[in-house]
Amino acid sequence: MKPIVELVNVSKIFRSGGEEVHALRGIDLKVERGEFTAIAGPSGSGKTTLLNVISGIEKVDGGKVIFDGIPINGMDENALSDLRLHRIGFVFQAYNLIPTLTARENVEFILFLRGVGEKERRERVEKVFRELGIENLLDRFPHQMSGGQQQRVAIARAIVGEPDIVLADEPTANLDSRNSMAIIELMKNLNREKGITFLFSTHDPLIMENARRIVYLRDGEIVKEEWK
Amino acid sequence: MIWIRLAWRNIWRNRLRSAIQFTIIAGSVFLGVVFHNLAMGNYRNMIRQGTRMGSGDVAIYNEKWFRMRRTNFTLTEDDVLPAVRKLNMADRYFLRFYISGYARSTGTGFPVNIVAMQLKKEVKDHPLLRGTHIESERDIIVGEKLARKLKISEGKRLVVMLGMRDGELTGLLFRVRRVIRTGIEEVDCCTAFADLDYVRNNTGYRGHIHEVAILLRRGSPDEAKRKLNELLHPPARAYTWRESMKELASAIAYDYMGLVMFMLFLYIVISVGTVNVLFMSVMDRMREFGMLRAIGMKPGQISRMIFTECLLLGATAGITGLLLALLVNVYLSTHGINIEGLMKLAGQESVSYGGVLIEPVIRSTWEWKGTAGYTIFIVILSILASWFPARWINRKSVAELMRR
Repeated sequence: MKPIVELVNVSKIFRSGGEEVHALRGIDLKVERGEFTAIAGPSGSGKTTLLNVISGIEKVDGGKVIFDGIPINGMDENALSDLRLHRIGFVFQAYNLIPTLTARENVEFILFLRGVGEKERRERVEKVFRELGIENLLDRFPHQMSGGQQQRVAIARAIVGEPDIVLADEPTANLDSRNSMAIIELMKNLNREKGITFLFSTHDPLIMENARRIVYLRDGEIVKEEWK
Repeated sequence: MIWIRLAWRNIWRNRLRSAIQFTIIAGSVFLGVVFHNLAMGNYRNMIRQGTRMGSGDVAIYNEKWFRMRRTNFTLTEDDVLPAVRKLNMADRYFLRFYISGYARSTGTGFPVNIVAMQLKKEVKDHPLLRGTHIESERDIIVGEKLARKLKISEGKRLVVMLGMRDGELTGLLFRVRRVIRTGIEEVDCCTAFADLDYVRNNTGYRGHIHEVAILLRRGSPDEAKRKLNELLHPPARAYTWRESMKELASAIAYDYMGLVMFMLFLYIVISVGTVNVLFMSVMDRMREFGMLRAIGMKPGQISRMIFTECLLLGATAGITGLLLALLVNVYLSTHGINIEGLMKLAGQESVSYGGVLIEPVIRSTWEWKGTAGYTIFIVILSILASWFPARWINRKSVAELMRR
């Protein structure tokens, strides 16, 4: 079976004021379906950049990014948007919910962009909220929720479209340890029960303990890999 | 619905900014519609005054007289009146005969332009002569400056030397019925209004006229001109007020240019203002746009989102501005703006423009075509202004937006 994500000798360089920063150097990585993988490393090691190149948010300077067997390097913006909309779920460190929409509408928005009809949208959103045990948040606006609640809604938004993979960029960085554990437990359950592939970046040892595979990054290079 | 909901809430999100944009659009529509209708009302008033003072909505002349203004290029009533009667658009018509002469009082003499007209009929309508009581065919109405130069006043006698059709000279005796002060220099200094039959019968032009000024009951001057020219035979020819009162037509056109310049200024203000406010709004939300792009929104959908916000704000502001303008227009069309005080402040008792006396109360009109056109144009312009910030944001990469 082909991996859902494959990176072949990927490199990414940021140029700033005549200075070059190698964010990624010759990365080779395969992520299979159903994995629960953490990208670990200190700040500036290239974790976010790695997630961004996988989703096509960042263009690579060298190497190939292959998503489910299809190279995405040459895709135009609309094709990349379609890829992200239909096949990738996102969870951000700062939750990034749309502030003017309620929790229900934030999650529904993904299905709306996919062209799903209103009745089906409503049913699917309510089902996801039920599964995550956050029905009480349905009609709240982001400013009416705590960080942990917002991140749960963000996870609902990421999984409502049943994507092939969820990319989570430091999903617990803004949360206290209790909420962090709750979020990681939620992701683990979704991985175990629904088979959703998770690839998340973190530098929190507590979170790393829960990953089945840990890829260590330093200065844009994979320095170690651990399987549990 | 989600687009509209999202746009509506985004509008409410930054109320001050939205209020500024709303005010720019609503204010532009308000000012544009009010000034447009006021200007149109003023032009209509000028045209009404002009057509009653001068050549009517449409007039018939001997085409040679129209070009050269020589007294002997006349028409006979028999030539033209059948055509005028056949024109079922006419409300009233006035016959006029123009002749230059030399006015003499007891002490002095000056050149004078005699406008010979059906005085008893015209004093009911003519803006300058309205209310004058005419008793005899020898009654004459004289411009104020001319009266001063001739040292005459109401009730005094006046002799006007005129050239006859056969080349001889004749002197006609008049009694000054009224001295008028109009503010129009060529009337005040050198014009006198006399009885049509008294003048033409005594100068050998019995039954002759220079002008038939027709006021229309319905239809346009152009349509009346076309119909009349089908009925008339050369040298008789019909002309619209635009052709016969070129000075008035030019004055209106010139004034309208001023209005257009004002409108253009408004267009620039609204475009720059809207684009500026939109840019600020878009720049504030760059990270949010980046997130939306990251979760799968296409550049076109981002444009649509910004466009919908502009559409909602533009439409509500446009309607509000229009309603306010219509409310003000109700007042201005019934009560108008009295500029008498301003005229006095400027040391003027009356104001003439384009050879026409302006009424001291300017009333606006209901010019629906311009009102609707202007409103729609402003709203469309404010919506089109969304194109620039949308394009700007869509040219940035998702990563660049996310890093903000």
